[in-house]
Amino acid sequence: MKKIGKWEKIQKNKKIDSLPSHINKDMLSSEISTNEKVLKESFQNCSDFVIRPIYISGETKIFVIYVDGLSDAKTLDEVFLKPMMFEGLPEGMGEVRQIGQILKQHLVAISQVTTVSKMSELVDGVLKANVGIIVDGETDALLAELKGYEKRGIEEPSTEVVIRGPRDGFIENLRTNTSLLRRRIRSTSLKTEPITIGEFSQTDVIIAYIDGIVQDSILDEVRTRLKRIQIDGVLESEYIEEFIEDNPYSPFPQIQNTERPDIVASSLLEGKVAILVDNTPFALVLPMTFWSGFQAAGDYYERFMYATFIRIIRFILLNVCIFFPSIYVALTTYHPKLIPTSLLISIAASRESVPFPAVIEVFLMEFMFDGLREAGIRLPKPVGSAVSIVGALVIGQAAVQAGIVSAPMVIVVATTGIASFGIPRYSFGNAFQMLRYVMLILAGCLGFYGIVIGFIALIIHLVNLRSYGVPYFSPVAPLILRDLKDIVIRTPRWAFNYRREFFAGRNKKRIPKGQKPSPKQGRNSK
Amino acid sequence: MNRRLICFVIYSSLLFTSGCWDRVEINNRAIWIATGLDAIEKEGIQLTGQILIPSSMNPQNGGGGNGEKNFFLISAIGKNITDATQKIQMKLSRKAFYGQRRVLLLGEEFAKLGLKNQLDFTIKDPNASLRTDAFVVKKGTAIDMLNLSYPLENIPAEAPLKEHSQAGGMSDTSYLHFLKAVNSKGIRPSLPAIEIGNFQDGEGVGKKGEKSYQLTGSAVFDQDLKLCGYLNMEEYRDQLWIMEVLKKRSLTILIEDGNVSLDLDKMGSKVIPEISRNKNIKFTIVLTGEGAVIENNTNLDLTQPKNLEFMQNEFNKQYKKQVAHTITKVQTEYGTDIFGFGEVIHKQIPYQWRDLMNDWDKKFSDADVTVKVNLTIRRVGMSGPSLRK
Repeated sequence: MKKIGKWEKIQKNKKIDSLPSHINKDMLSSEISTNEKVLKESFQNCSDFVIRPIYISGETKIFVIYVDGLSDAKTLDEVFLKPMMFEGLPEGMGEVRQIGQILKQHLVAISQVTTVSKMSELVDGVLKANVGIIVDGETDALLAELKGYEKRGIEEPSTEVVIRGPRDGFIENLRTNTSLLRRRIRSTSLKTEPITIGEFSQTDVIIAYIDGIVQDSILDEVRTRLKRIQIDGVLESEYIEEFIEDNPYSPFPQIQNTERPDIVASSLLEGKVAILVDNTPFALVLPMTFWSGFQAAGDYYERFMYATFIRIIRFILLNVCIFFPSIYVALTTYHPKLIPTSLLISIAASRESVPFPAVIEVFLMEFMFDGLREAGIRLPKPVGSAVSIVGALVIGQAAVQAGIVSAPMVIVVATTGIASFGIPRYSFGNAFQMLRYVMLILAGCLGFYGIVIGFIALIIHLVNLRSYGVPYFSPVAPLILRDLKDIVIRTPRWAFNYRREFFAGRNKKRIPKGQKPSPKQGRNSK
Repeated sequence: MNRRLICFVIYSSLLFTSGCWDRVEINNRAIWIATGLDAIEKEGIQLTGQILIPSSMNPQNGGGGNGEKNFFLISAIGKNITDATQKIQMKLSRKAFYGQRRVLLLGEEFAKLGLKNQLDFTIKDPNASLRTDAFVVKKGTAIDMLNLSYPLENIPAEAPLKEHSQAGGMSDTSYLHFLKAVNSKGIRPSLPAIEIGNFQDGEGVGKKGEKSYQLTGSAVFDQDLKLCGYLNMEEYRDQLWIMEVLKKRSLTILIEDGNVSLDLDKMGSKVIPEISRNKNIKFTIVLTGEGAVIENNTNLDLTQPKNLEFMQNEFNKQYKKQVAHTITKVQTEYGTDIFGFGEVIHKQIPYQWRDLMNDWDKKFSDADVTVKVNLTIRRVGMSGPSLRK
């Protein structure tokens, strides 16, 4: 706490230093030349800052202020400059003194216009892609929203692909993202609270939730934690995530991130809270539980039986991902008794010429695999395929033929690699990637005993973990039977009668009971 | 925070520096798949191990099909097993690993001398697998047996094991049963017996080198764990049936001038003990079985219920005689209760057992045994009457 206080002081001092002290900088002056001076001073050396003077009837001076590239200059010409310069003020519009009012009401043909009276608000507005208009003799300025910066089109998110389901994803523009949400939940209950974070970046952050479903204690906690953040800039939602998560030393993410508006919308309907951050397509959803780590969006867009089946597969993959290499090491070096004889012999046969112990062998291969994975992300696309071929040949075949690693080891590592991609949430899978190495060390030193120790430690950690007051392992531990409907098995949608105990606040009922379709029901309803 | 970090480093270094690792890589283990024990006069016992050569079984190099043996035998003579093991280890470049030992062969001479002084090792060693099938090598030595390779099995020691399980015996739990019997007063141990024989039966066939293992029944032990005789295969099956171990069996009987075979798959048994006032012990053994007639070389048309019933009775009658004969043979010739009748009394009439257990072998020999066989023919095959009709 001490450190933060100090930092705050430094920031304050800076502000005072950079502004001249003889005039009240913050209020807009009626003298337009003073305003101009102040503005030019604050935008000193900002080459993208435009301040454009206009004279109406040869006397009244108007300044149009915007940041080049952020505001739509073309539209500005169309709707403001042209009528202003060629047509002038309409006649009989009253006194020149109220020109600002007139401008706002009649002249600026832009839908969103606000009036500000403080210099800092004006500057902020301009920096947020608005066009500022100050008029001589007025102590108010107009901020017209004319955002005109470049943005990416809406694309299918590449990290969370579904076979069936909506294909739109968030983009870097916050407004577009909220519109994607609003299109899904057309209710006034969907609230989007704005908050600005970042000393320099002044990033817009939106807390989205559904009023009436959300648990107020969680929402309040989100607000306080967000307000606590003091940071120079927020460039990605991860910047925020690290400030507001419960246990920073856990390998497991306690806040879910997603690029998919449908995931956010469905989470909101469950009573969760979403945090949208400008300039990044990744939204944060909280609270998160262990089980949401392997629920994919596709689960809800397939019929429930297949969804359940695939979830069970995924659960097995999750365990394979973390335990398989260590079990292999423990079995072959400590407990060969447990391996069926013929399998043991084929493992022994292929290990015959391998110079390293099994642990070292696994480490080598896992290291190479993770290396390939990392290289695959970094490599430019044309080179990527070449590297993957080399990787596959070198690791898969040449290493086995040269007798550096054994063939079963390649199978183990490859299976583990595939399994690690079976976890739908990337950042959740990362935790298991890392823990795999811990398990390997334990298995290499202590055998199955070590794996069991590691497993127990892992479970203890997971059970202790909380995300915004929600136990990470819920509803399995603590056990809430009603909520088990959407954990490993996914029951049909008409059976989701209640919202999750820990997420939803007041409104726990989700859908009325008795909607299971059946022929009998059809006749009755007729 | 700093203290936590230091604690973490210290504790995690325990993992690597503790030094008492029992980690042994597979390529530093000699996979010992079968043990043979033979008696050597005066000097004690000869321990033989069958050890696999993994490199000869590498699937990438074409795998063992090139006529070379993929195992080798190693043996040593010692006062007891540990002594011999130690001597064997001097000849072995890798640590002998007993975890995969599935077969234990006892030479006939060794079994006759008695196992009492030699078996402790197999129970005490934590690495030794108790899922072992033990055999007595009838008319032979264990080392001869271990020297044979088996054309079907990559691991030759698996051949007797699989033969045993094909015969419906207890296969890899037989040694465990044996040990249980050793520690119980109401049952005397018996082990399956195996013999070296030719693959082809009959005159003039079978090259000299092509020897096979052949299950020949069971070896009966007495109270001192000394081999006292053998039962043949049919008798062994009767024994297993009474002990409710047998899972399948084919029965063949002669009726008039033809013969019939019944393939049983659901088999059960019940032993009912009865002790009269004058301390006469009586056992009633009810054997049940269900199955299909798979060969019918008689004139009987089994689609007729009358004939079916007749045949069922015929089976019951003939096998009642056969089982009774087996029991009488054990009672009179060997006088040791390999069926575990004593255990049945122990469980069902425990207060009487205390008086009986001390001289059980004799009482077993004197007991009255009544056998009842209740077979049910469920299916009579695909076609109706037999071809002879």
